[in-house]
Amino acid sequence: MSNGKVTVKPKLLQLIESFCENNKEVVLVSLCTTDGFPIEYFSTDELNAEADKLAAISSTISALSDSSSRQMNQGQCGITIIEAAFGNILFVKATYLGTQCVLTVVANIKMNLAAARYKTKNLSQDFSSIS
Amino acid sequence: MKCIAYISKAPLTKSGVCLPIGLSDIVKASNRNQRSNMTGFLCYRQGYYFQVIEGPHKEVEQLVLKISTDSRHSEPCILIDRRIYKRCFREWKVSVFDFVDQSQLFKQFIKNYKVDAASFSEQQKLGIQKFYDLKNLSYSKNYEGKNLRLIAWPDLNQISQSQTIINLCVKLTKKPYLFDQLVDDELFGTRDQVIEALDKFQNLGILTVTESEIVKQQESEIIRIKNPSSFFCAIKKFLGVR
Amino acid sequence: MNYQKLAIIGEVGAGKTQIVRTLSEISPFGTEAKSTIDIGKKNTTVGIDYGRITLSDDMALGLYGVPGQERYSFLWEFVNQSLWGLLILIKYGETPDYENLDKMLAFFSPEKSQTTCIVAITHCEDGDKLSIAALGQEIRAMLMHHNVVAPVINIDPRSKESAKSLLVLFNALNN
Repeated sequence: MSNGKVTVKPKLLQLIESFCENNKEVVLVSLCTTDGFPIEYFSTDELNAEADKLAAISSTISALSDSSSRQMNQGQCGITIIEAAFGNILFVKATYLGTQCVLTVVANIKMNLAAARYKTKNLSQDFSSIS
Repeated sequence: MKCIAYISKAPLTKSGVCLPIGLSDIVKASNRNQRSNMTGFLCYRQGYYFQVIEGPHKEVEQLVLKISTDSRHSEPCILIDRRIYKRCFREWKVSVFDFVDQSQLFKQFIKNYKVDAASFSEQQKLGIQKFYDLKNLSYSKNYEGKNLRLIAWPDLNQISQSQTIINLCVKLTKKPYLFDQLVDDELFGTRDQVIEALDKFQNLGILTVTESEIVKQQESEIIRIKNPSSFFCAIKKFLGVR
Repeated sequence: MNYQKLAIIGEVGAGKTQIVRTLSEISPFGTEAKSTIDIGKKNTTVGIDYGRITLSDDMALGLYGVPGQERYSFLWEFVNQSLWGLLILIKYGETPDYENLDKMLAFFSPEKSQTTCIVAITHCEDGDKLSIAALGQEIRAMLMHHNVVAPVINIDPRSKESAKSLLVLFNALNN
């Protein structure tokens, strides 16, 4: 269920495709609005999650992280990382076509955290440059 | 002038439940009838709508045609469709409470239109029974020695939202309570005030009155006074409630 | 520490964030985001609104507002334990999403868990009495379907008095 207002540009699809092609350790890439509507979603077969639920989770974690960060006087939240048993989940704020979004990347344990963080941040910046 | 009376069903939700979805919108829309030349009434009860519309011939027909295609109800069953020379209802009324004894409006309808329910088809009788059976329901106003229980909360817009009434509802929705105990507690007003409240609940069809023998096993629970928890007292203190 | 929870659920714009703000003694912890669809206001809650009322040194009531949309149902799990009460807010003026309300009632099952439940209609200050009553009727029909015996009352979440009257009712029902 999307809000239908955010256009999915070919460039966006291209970026996500190429990101996944070049990083086989990535099992999920999701872009959603900050209020929980999915824009685009890619996952490998091993990860079977509903796009709208995932968008809701991403928006909640992003908003919760932001609120927590401000409450603890550390300013705006940059990136939220969940280190899990089989991999890492990263949530980073992004801007796409002027809309505030949340980019979620799930990478399995074969990609180290530093690499996952660096690549995710770069991807979010690439999204911002799409017009 | 014309009169059309019909019964229809509330729609089924996706989960197969019959609910009066959009009832508040229907009421808002039907209240426009007050400003027009229409008289009659609209009732809702237990998944069924019953509407009587009186007014100028053309306007009634147009309104009924519009209503018949409204998706907020289904299976309309016409009971009356006739020319009239005199209105029976002075004004437009809406009665949408599931439990309310609607026999007054219905009695007026039966009397004024000289409706012979026996002449209805089976389908018509099935629908009308939702509204008609209340006529035969007689309830005892004698609560002495009886156990009382509320099967649902009343509409607090219809019955006062006073603390006494709310406390009475809280008590009676939890478990059966002896009438005499209610009066002796002196928490719900005088005897007459308690009876007045119980009568209102009866009118709404939400009060069950049973012989005290039937609920014997619960009597000891009723009589045993529960000590309020410390959390309850703390909230009361915080709210400044005595 | 005797810590109880009051869960507040309801559709977008029903007044969950507002009521937590009204009742909470602490500055409420909210998780809002700018809405990308027209919901009649700028922001919407995408996480939990948290507030607290301290009753004594060792007693407190936590206020948890959670979104009512089904896609946020994973948040319902966080608040569905040892509840002191469940408050369902419904906004007057639009036909409620009964499919969603059905899911909320099925999930929380207040009648099974013996959780005290109250349904409050908001935004009805200027409403037509009869159609508010009709809305109450729609809601009661839904509650009956779930065997939930709960009062349906009108409140103004912005008003401290109105919000406190809710706590009075919860407390009376919990006694």
